[in-house]
Amino acid sequence: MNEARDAILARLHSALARERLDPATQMQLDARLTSPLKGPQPTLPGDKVAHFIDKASAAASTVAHADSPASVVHTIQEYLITHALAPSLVIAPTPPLVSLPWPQDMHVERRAALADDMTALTAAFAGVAETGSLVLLSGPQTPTTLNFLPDHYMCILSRRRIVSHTEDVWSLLREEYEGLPRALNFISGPSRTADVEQSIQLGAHGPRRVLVILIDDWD
Amino acid sequence: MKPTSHAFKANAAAALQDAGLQRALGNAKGGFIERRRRAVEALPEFEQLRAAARDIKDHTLAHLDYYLERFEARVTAAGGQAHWARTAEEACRIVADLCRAAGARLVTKGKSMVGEEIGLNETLEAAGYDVVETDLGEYIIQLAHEPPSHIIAPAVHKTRGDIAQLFREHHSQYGFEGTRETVPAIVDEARQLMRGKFVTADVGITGANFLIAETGSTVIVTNEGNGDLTGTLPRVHIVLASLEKVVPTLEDTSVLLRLLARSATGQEMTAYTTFFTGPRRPNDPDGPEAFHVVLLDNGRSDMLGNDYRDMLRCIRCGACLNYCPVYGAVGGHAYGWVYPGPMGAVLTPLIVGLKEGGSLANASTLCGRCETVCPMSIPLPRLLRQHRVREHEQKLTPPRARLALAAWAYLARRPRLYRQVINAAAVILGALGRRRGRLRYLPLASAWTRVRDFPAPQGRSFISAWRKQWGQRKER
Repeated sequence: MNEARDAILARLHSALARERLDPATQMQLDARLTSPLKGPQPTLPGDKVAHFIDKASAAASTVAHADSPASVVHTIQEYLITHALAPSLVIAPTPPLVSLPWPQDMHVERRAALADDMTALTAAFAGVAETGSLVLLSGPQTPTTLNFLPDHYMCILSRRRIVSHTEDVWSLLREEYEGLPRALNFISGPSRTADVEQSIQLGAHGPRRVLVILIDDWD
Repeated sequence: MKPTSHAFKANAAAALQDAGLQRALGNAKGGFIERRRRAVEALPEFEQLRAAARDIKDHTLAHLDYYLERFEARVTAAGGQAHWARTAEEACRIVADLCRAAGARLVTKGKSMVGEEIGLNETLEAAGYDVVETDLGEYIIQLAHEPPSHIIAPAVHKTRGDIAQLFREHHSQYGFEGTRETVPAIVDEARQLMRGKFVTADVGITGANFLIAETGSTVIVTNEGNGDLTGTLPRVHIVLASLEKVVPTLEDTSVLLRLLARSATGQEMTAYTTFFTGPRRPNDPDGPEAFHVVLLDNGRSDMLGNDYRDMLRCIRCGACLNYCPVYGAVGGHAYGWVYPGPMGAVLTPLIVGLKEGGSLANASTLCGRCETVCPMSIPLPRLLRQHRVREHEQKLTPPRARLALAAWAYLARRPRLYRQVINAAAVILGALGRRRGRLRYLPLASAWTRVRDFPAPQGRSFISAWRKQWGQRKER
């Protein structure tokens, strides 16, 4: 299909009334790619964490607070009881989640999700105050399917990892990662659809509920 | 699908008589507008973002060759593959070949307007693949064998009753019995049914809202989560995108994302915004083994070089549809192809030709609301007017319309004669309509007077009235 590629690029050159860009212009554009400029950003009044909680709640996520590993487990146990769910959980196989003090009577599996899993727990890379979004990265210890297949989606987010704007996520990624992971998900509330008479219905194909558990320290 | 845009007049007349459609359009009308208005009012930076977004796209388009090559290089570096397609046929062939190479049987699809544009489902079904649309709206119209009637709400023309009936007809084969009457029950049935499809599909096809040159990522902006399941569970993920979807950096994408969801559904951010970069990495527990991006031209390179380049800024939010009085009255199917409303009336003639699509440009009052709400500041009324000029120049308009225009042009170039004729017409029509104040029939305009009366002139033209009142005064 190189023929199509060459033909399309030739058509673009002719449409732009020039040949392939000269090296000097290419270098200017390369610089625009390597040192990206930020566009206008919404001003966020007040505290980032409070703003995140407001926005996440407005997007129909539930936000809980936990001040210790034991309290994370307790929060999850309460959630399962409230929603009449079995004490069973699939967690991302990442050390901070694996090392939580799971009780004997809780069935915890560490793996990617299967079609009929009811409940999953993951840990977010970051949170975005601007939109109340969780940021999840795929990786060996963080399967993406956990974010989408289970009915009930729980995610732990450290307050320190809440940033103001999506641009701050790009900065964090450039500091802490090489390139982008296969999948980067911004998750802003449960799955929803308005395809039947414009009436908003939660739980289309992804999770019906999202529980964000905010913690003070995580690493 | 074969376009029927040339038959807009007849399509529109039928749509106005369709009680079910009118009920569905009535249901939808206020919601989109109200939600968008609230979201825009809550963001004081909206106009600033609009200007920045226009600049980003204009810059990208002026260097489109460079950014596409950079994007391709990054896709390859991430372990994926980019494919270039000049036409709809080429794009379909590429996808069909990829499905064959993957030994596919079941193909799931996320919502993709490019997929609609190239008629991909027909091609894949003809090649023997089982193709399932997974977005609820797209799935509904797939069952009904219809094109989308709105670019972000494909089944907006269907009522709950229509959908319940389609499900009853098609779902008994899966063991579903009875009729779902409520919205939650309908959504739940689709969810249950689609689960099996997601996990058994061999190939997943999604569209892309943006392609990012910096990283080689493709972005989808969704609410249901079906696009993510489609791009993550099958062995092969194919992304369909037209050339103009590329943007330089992640930061540029942030600007466009702030405008897209607000303009489309009034959300600040959709439930899911996902960046896919290449296939599954070593040791990843999930994700596809292969990642392909099909880059479609199909008329875009022409638009880049002519005076429709502004249209390439379009991010497919659908705001112009929601605010268009014509779209609101006749719905999307009257436009006869896959892109309806003002953006469709500009785009359709550019892709399927002016002869087939030109009449859509006349389906506008040029009221300008579309341009006012367009997050990318596309001058849609001007582009529609351009189509009208071309249509006239290429003699594609009806002879009677051309004759009338020629007669008017003859008069307009002769001010004295023009005034005499207008005065005479005003006097005669005024006399004829004196009793009722309106005329029920006008020769040469019977199509107009068939459905409404023509207000009778008050007996004198504006110019002569002006003369009489102000004529003696010296102009300052």
